[in-house]
Amino acid sequence: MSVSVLETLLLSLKIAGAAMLWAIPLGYWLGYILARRRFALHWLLSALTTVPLVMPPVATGLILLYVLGPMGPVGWLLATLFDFSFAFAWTGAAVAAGIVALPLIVRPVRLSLEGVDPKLDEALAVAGHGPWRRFMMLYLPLSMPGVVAGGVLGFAKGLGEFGATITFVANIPGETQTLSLAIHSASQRIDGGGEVLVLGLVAVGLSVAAVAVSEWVLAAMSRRLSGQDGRHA
Amino acid sequence: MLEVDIVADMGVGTLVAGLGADRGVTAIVGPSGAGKTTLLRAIAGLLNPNSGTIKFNGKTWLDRETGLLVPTHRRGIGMVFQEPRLLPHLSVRANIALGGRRFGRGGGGKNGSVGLAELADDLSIGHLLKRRPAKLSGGEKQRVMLARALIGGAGLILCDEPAVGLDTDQRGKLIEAMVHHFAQLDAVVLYVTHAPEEAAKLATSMVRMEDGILGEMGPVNQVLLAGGSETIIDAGTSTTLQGRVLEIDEAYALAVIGIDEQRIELAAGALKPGQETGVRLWARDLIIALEPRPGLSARNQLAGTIVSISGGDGASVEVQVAVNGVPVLARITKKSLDELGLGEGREVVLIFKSASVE
Repeated sequence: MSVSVLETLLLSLKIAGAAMLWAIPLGYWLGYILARRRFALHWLLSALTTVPLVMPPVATGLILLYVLGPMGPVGWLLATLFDFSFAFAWTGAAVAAGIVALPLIVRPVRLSLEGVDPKLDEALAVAGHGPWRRFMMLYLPLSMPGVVAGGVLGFAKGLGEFGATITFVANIPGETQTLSLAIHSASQRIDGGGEVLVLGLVAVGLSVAAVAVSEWVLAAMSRRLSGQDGRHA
Repeated sequence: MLEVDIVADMGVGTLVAGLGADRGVTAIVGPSGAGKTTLLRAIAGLLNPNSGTIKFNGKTWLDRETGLLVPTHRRGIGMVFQEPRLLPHLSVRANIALGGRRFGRGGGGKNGSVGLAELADDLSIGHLLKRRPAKLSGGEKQRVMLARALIGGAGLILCDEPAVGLDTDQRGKLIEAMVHHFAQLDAVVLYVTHAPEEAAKLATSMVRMEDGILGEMGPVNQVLLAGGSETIIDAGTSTTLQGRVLEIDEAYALAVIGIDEQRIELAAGALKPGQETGVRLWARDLIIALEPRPGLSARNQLAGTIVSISGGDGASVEVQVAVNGVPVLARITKKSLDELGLGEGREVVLIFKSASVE
């Protein structure tokens, strides 16, 4: 064993964190247009953003491989133009984790935006506020619980990602071997029992901590946003 | 000056509205489903009419012919909705301040910048400024909405039955506040309601609306008296006497109506000799005199006896005068009551110019 548990943990956090850096903004944008806009292919976009949730992650990894891999069109373009490749790299793992987490981010964001009363939007328009200010004053604050819930779920999902990652960027210690992959590798070894236990406990601990933090933040947030926090803001 | 000439869908039926409202409060009175809210929403730009134009102080807000449409947030208006629309995550102060942002492209008001705290105190919500709106009462919330509509000095203020969900006490407070503040405004105020009482208290002019059709605009009293559909006349402030048409005076287009042995003259309209008719007398239009008075332009006088006097909390009292045994409600000032020395059992004469016939 050349990579310590701590290094594996830090790598997992880095990959999941990087995944959220792009998946939360994209997920917010998707959630926003799904909640607030009506257009011809609305149903298709809605379905597409849900697909990674129900598709086997291995299949998601395969699609990524065919599109972003060295032989795929986008992968080839990236390699030719920028000499950049996702293959066997942690950045590829961040792409896989983000894709798998995306539906978990879009859904709560979309629900929280759909929950905003359009009457409040009208009242702000009447009071002289244009679309951008209405977004900043109304939709953004009232959708923050959705962002937190989706972000935490997505982060935890990204931490635990297995199938898409191993298919897309393989299982390389120190580069693409996240917690789940390390547990899998250790469990294949005859002497890996102890390591499996430690890694497993770390994974469980992380998940519980993530959910606990999000529950706490959400409770505080919803009290504040509904004006029930008793604070004289 | 607000000029509206539009046709719009109202869910059920079609709204056809032509309206020219000047500075001051204009009440739009009609039953629910008449299209009142649709009209206000079209003026606010919250819905797009099928055809027509909307102009305010010479600026065109909507012209379906040319496709011109000024969005709601550029119209510089204030609006109080049927239900309070406050942002739950902001303080009352911030909710009021929301109305303070004006782009000056549509509004023509010159109401200046009223101090927020001063305005809030005036509306008895000054002590709530730091609170969140969630736990405010319905009446307090609507007064916050009123403050938001007033704070920006909008040239046009739209009120869509703001008092409808409130209990009597809170409704009274809100209406009192509106009477006071609207009187000081250099703005066009449209006040939608189904209660003629509210219109009478607040408005200078009034127009009826029914089934999507806007009637003729006129001074509140005239429009209230002009009759119209029973559904929108509040029985609380008027009394109906039964009479019979004795004859029609063709030369003056007057009907002579006998109420027992007493006689009055009203506009003949479609009345025919011999017809039984109700005569509706409005409490606020009745004058009480101690004895019959000749030499008045008000031609109608009915003798009766005071049966009860109930003091209001303000300057006026309600006096019930039995005319042929029917108690007729009259509203006069307390001062008149005292100066005339009126009391129960006193013989008096009710004088009035007009009444509605039904």
